[in-house]
Amino acid sequence: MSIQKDQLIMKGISKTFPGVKALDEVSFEIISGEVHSLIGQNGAGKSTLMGILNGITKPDDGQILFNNKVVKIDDPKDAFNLNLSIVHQEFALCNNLTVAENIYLGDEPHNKSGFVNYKKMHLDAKILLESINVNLSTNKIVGNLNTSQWQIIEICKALAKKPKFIVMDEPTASLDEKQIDNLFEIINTLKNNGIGIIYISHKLKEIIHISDRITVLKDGKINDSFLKNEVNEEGLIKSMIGKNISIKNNNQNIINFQKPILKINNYSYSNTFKKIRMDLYEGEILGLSGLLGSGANELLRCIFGIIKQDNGQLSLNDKVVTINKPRDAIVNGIGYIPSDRKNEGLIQNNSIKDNSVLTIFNKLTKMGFFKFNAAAKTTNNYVKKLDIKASNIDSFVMNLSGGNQQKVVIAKWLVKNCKILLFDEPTRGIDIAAKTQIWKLISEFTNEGGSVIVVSNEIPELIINCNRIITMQKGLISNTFNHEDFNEQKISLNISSK
Amino acid sequence: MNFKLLNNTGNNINLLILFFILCCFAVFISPAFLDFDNIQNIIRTVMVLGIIAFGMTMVMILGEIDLSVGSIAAFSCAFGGLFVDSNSSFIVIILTLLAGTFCGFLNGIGVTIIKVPSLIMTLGTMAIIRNVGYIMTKGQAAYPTKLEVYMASAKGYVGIFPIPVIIFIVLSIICAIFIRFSTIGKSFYVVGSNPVASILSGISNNASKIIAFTVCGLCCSIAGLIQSARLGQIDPHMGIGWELTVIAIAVLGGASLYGGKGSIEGTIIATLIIGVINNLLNLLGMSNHSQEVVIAIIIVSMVLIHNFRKKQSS
Repeated sequence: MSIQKDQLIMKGISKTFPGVKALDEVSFEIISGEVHSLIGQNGAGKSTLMGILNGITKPDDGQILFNNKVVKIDDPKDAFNLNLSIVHQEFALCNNLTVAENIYLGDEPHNKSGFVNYKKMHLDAKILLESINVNLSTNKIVGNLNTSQWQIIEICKALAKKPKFIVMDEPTASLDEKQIDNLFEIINTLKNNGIGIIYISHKLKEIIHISDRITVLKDGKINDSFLKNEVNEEGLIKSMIGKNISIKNNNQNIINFQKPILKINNYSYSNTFKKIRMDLYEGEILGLSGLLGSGANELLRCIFGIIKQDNGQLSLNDKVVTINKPRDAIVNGIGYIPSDRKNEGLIQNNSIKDNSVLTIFNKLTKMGFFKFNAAAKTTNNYVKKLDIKASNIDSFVMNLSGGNQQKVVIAKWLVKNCKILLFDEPTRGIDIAAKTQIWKLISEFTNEGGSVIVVSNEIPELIINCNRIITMQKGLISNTFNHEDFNEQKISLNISSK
Repeated sequence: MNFKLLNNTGNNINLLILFFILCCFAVFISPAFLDFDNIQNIIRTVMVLGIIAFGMTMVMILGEIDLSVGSIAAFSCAFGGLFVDSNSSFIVIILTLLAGTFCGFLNGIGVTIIKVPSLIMTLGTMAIIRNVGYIMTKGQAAYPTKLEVYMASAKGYVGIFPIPVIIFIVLSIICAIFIRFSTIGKSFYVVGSNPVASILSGISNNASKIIAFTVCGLCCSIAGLIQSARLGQIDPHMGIGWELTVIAIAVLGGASLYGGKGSIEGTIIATLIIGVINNLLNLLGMSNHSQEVVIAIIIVSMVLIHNFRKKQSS
């Protein structure tokens, strides 16, 4: 006698966004009691596929079958009715509520008179935690727990809806090794309880360890499908990247690797990164790559003074410099282009002009008055130079496209005459033509003697443009590549395994 | 010249229309509205609060709020009033203005360096400053009637123009120019619109806030001085509840409680509108209490309108 297994099949799913075919006839299935991993590079179509499964995105074509019956998933509620839960990459917990309250948030058990039945809630939560062999008091305040426990609560939140299938999006991003082992034990328990798990991650070693099946997406198509023990990390990377495309380094700058312009020594910040040593040379584009949780983004923010390192020192041209806040970095000729350009880079409801000269307000002041004409002149110069497409310089930046917005942020630092620019994911969310332009701007900046650090996970872009690439994992530098040794597979391996 | 600068012209035109409708309505209700004495009375009453509203507008553009305005006005005048016996208008006026400026500066320091949210900080200073004023004066009023220049600030004329009206106009021009054309005024809007982006661009949010609170304190002391001269006594009980009307004026004039928006032009028109509304309610024979109800309703409904517009634009 065999137990009836539930089955969820996505069949021939296609989705086109303006200018890009995100998914092309993709089929994907999940059976109860298995872990099916979905991997692929950024932009391969993973999020779109999961968005369709969750009812956030509508497919142009294709159907979803639940136990061979066609079902419609038009919004997240439909997904919920199909017993499908999602554990999102980011934690969405209320820090000042208890474990039980968080697990049943928005779905609290009530007693007859309409009040929350706390007794039942704590009991249910306890049973739920025990079912995955976790020993955690349901009375604890969530804010006092660690990230691993938060992850468990997120999973319990999903489990509280009694799902048959769970999607886990990068569940190990902020966990350390021991915590990951814990999570895997939980996943195995869930598997044995007959729950099907769709597992999404960039960390290949974990993927191979936990998956029963692995599906590789590439450019919106299924590229390969492997069973457990059929493939190793190299094989997966080959499949994700493709076999025949060779990307050539295109950076012609000759760097004098004698005197670093920027040198950081022994940089540490809480658990995020430890004892980082790094040099940056004049005219260099240095790529810094690492997954979420590797510490790369935080290192950049630390150099700019947004967060203060616990210890370590920074020197510019062999002179030790203390940077306590962004202003200190700016005074020393360092500029920062944040990944969240909407909230951190730009003042959305101000004009292109005001945004472009934001860094030189003091210079544009005469007897306390703002020199509007000089500001307009400077802005016009840079609008022309950077080819910013806008009707005029007084239009609000929120009406610009992503690429043009990014150019305004860059203009802000070029007018300041910075010597070092720190780019955090500079090409995220902008179209391919604009990406090329952004990289052209970066290389022009270095041709004129500037130095650049780019944090990015777009490895092909880094390979084309950088002089050196440093890879980071779990807060440590895992390797440094000179441009002769650039190799997409090796770099990917140094980011996503160990 | 750059006309985009006047980007909230639309709002100001709406306010002007509202102002004229209210005036027509007032004339319709009572022809006495147009009496020269009545008009003069409106202007003199509301102008005092209008001057404070200039400071409040700056503070609100930065996304902060100042509840201590009435207390600062009372305290600074009381402090100046301690020196009435010197018989020197100059000394009393200077000390009044210095006291107000200093109180505003303290608010600024509390909000920026000690990092107390402005709502709480100024709620605290509202009580502290007022009661220090009581303690200092033992609750007694002082009488500046012998100080000629002091009294002229409310009662004097230049030609046919009352001096307080001239003070109001000059201050409004200075504040408008400061906000529109100075670099500091420009940074108010930047900091209020997006404090994170401004810090990451090397702008000192703290400096902007300290300046705005200090200017607001100075405005309070000027307003208090005119009010004291008008009444002929320096009363430490002056200005209780002013913050309500002042915030109403600023909000009606286009300042957003969420920061980044507001203009002196709007505040000027809003000052006149509040003046007419108060006068209208007087003419209708309604009590002070009902006036406060109306003003409070204005504040709340302006926020409603703001939220409604935001929803529509998105």
